[in-house]
Amino acid sequence: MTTTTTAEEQHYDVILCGTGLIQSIVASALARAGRKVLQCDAADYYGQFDAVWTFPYLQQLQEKKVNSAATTILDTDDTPSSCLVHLTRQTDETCLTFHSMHTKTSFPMHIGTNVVTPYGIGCIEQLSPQQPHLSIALTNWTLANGRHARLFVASPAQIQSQAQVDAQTILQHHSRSLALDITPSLVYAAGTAVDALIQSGVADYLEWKALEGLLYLNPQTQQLDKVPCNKNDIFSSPSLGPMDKRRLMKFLQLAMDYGIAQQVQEEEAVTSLNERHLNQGRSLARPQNKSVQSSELKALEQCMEMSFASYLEEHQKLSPALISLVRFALALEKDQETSVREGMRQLCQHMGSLGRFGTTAFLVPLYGSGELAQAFCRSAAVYGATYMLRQAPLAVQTQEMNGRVKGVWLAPMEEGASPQLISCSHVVVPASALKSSVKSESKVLRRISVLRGRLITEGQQRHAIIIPPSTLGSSSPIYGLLLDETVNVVPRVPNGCTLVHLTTTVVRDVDVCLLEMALEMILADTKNDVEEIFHTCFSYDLYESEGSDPSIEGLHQVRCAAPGLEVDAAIEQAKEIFSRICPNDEFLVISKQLETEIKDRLGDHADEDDDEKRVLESAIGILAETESKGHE
Amino acid sequence: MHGRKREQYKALQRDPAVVSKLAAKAQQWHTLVREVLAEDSPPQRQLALTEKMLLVNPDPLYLWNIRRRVLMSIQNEGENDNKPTMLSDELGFTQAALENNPKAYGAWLHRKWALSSSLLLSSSTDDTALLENELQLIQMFLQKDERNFHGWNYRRFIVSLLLGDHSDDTNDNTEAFDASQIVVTHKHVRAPVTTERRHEILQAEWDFTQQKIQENFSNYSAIHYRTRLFPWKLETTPDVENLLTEEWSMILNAVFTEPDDQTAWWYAQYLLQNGPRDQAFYPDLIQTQAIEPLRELLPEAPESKWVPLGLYLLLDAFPDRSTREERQQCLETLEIIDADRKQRYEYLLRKLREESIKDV
Repeated sequence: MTTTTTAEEQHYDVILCGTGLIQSIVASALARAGRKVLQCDAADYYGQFDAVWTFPYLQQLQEKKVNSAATTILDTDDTPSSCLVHLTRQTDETCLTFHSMHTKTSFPMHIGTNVVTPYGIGCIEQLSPQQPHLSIALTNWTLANGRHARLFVASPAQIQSQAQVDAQTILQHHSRSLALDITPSLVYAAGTAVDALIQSGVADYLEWKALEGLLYLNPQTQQLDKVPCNKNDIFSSPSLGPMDKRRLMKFLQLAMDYGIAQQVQEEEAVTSLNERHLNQGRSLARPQNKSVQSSELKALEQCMEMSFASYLEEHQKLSPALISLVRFALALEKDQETSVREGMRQLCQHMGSLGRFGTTAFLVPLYGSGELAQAFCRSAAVYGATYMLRQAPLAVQTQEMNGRVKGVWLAPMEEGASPQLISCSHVVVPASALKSSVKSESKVLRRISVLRGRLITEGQQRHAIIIPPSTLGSSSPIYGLLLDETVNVVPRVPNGCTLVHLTTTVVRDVDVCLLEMALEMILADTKNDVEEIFHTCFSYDLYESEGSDPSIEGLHQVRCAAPGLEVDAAIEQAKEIFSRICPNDEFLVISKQLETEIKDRLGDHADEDDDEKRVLESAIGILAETESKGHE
Repeated sequence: MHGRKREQYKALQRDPAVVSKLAAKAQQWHTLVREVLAEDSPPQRQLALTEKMLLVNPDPLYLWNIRRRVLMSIQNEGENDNKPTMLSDELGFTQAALENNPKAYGAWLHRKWALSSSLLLSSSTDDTALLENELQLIQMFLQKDERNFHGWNYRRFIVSLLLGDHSDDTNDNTEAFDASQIVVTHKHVRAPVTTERRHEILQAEWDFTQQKIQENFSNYSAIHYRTRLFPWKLETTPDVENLLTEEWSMILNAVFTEPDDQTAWWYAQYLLQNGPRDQAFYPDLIQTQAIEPLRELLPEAPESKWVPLGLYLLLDAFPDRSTREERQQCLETLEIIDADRKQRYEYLLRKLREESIKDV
């Protein structure tokens, strides 16, 4: 690697430790602002905890085959230890606790089990335990009498259950098509993340599909209901009574008005109020004859600091079931105590993203959300950032104790070599890497399940599921994500395959069964033939966001927040870090030169898409043709 | 163009690059029009040219007329072997034109003409499959724009063809399912379907309106279609009470979701007038399914004029001495929240007073 030699000599403006999403966004923004950027990661893949695992990698991890390089002990004679801020190694083995990982291998056969035989598929009719004797009805052979052909087998060796064949197809033959996100997330169809992606041109590296449905595990009925987000959902929802419909609709309209009023306040100039109404479309807008009730807005402003839950109860008079729906499924509240201000902000964000693409407010990235971090890294590299993988940052060196950042010690590339100090002015590190950070009482608990078959058979399977705390008695809501081959995270197999992500935050002791119970509830809701064939369950620590800051000038911490459904908060935090390093630069801008180049390129394409021109020209062509014939 | 500012659009029109492109297109268009209108223009070339031109702009009726005239003249000349291909050509091409502009009257009309003229339909064509295919297509068009009235009209036209209704010939409007009377010189006559099949088709249409209303209850077109089907439904349903209960519950769900949406109230008025008023259960049903829930809604939606108005209309449909005071309260509330129509409410109040004087 030629970069290593140059890296040693050069001075970087910013070194970013780890390639997590937030660091990658910051790296891209800094590189665009003309800063000299180095981003390094101890692992040999991009994304850190925002990465996508492959199935073979997980198997290796299970068998402990992942070669974890021996931890290098930083031993520098010429640096006083007071000037060193040691960093812990940030890899899967050091930061994640695996509670279970299981691949289902035995699929017992009973009467009624669908099987695959050398003569086609069938169904077991008889099974006698004394002698190995099977009677199978071959379902794809129909005789003249209307019955299926029968197959009698003495030894069941050649017979495999359909479930086993499906599992083998997915986990053995096509296991490379599985993309398992460590932190799966969605993006709001309108908002900071989408704006940043478009404005920066990073969107060009990514592909998206709209989330098909937002579901809610109803605590009363224990069934999956569609989350009523707009007027027609509310109208046609069977689980809401008439008065619930009225109160929920009224509250959501108030939220819309509030959201618009806030935006207008922020922008000052009412440039596109009309458009905004159109975008949010027919989802919540009032009939034309109805006016905004400004008195209600004023009443809302009075309650900004009270708890969201009690506001909904006391002022909006919502029933307990509705309150839980609004808080967890509409405002996507993560913890128990949210103020009205925060709740309304989140609710408006959700409502404002409706009606853009598809039926929900969310977009799903293709090939897993780990692509996001990679896309930002790629764009940073385009603007000249340097990347070093398999290079663990060992410590940050300061000029004097708690003085300015001087550089970062990186682990050597080859064994036996000594660590190298790379000088820089700013360092961005994950808070969890700092030894001074205080672990919070909460942990993030994750479960990734691969199912054979489809959970949802109507349409494509891209659904988010919210399980409110009251359903399973969890301390935080559980977020589920059902994905299938339409977003290229599972292989395309005949009987379908479903990837289920479950995420929640638990306090103190990890209750491993929690997510298993959640999965069981989701599976209990379907009558389809689905079965879990692989799962892994792991957890990782969260750190106090207001942990003891070493208050070293030039050292910037990346806080790891409890994951929710969407990544918009990551962009916000990246923006915050960026503006601390470059207070006078614009965040994630595309260079003028690139912009004109793209415009030129698109300008050429615009003509090709002109169908009218094409058809008219072909019509003129007919004229010319007949004329030339006439002359002959 | 929704969501696009007029100034932006206008500015685009002033852009010299755009202007020159448009001018070139206009030039080409004029050349083509001259060619098509020329008296000595050969029919095949007219067909080819009108097809291209109508794809670009499906609005000009004169082009559609030329096309039909050419098609008729070709057919009258003899060879009838190519009927099926000609029909599928016309259907394919009008579909493309409609995808370009789904509200072009000419294109919809041409499609109707193609499907009802015996010039293109031969007796051997399986027209039931053809018509069912048309229903699928309209469903697609209504998916894109649920309020495209051309699509709804066309749907009724296709259904009337499917049913074999020829009521527009007999001028018997009571049975007429489709009111769009297009003039076809050589009409293709279909035999009426069996009663059983007729019910099947109409039930599918009833379910279709249900589906569209569930997607968006403000869909006035869907509700309107439902009212066209309602007399048939009322006549053929064994359990009328259950039917009415479901219809009223749908209305109430819509009203509770958005009391100011007029669509549901309009359907309520329709059911009030066209429901089985002569049957004993109907007043009770309205009492429990509509009046009582509305009384509950009244304090919840103080700003909505439709709740007191709707309540008044429901009470007034079955006037009773006991509800007189309540009706009066409704009107008095309306005078305040809907001051624009104060005189009307005054008039209704006067009528109410006269009613009470008569009683005494």
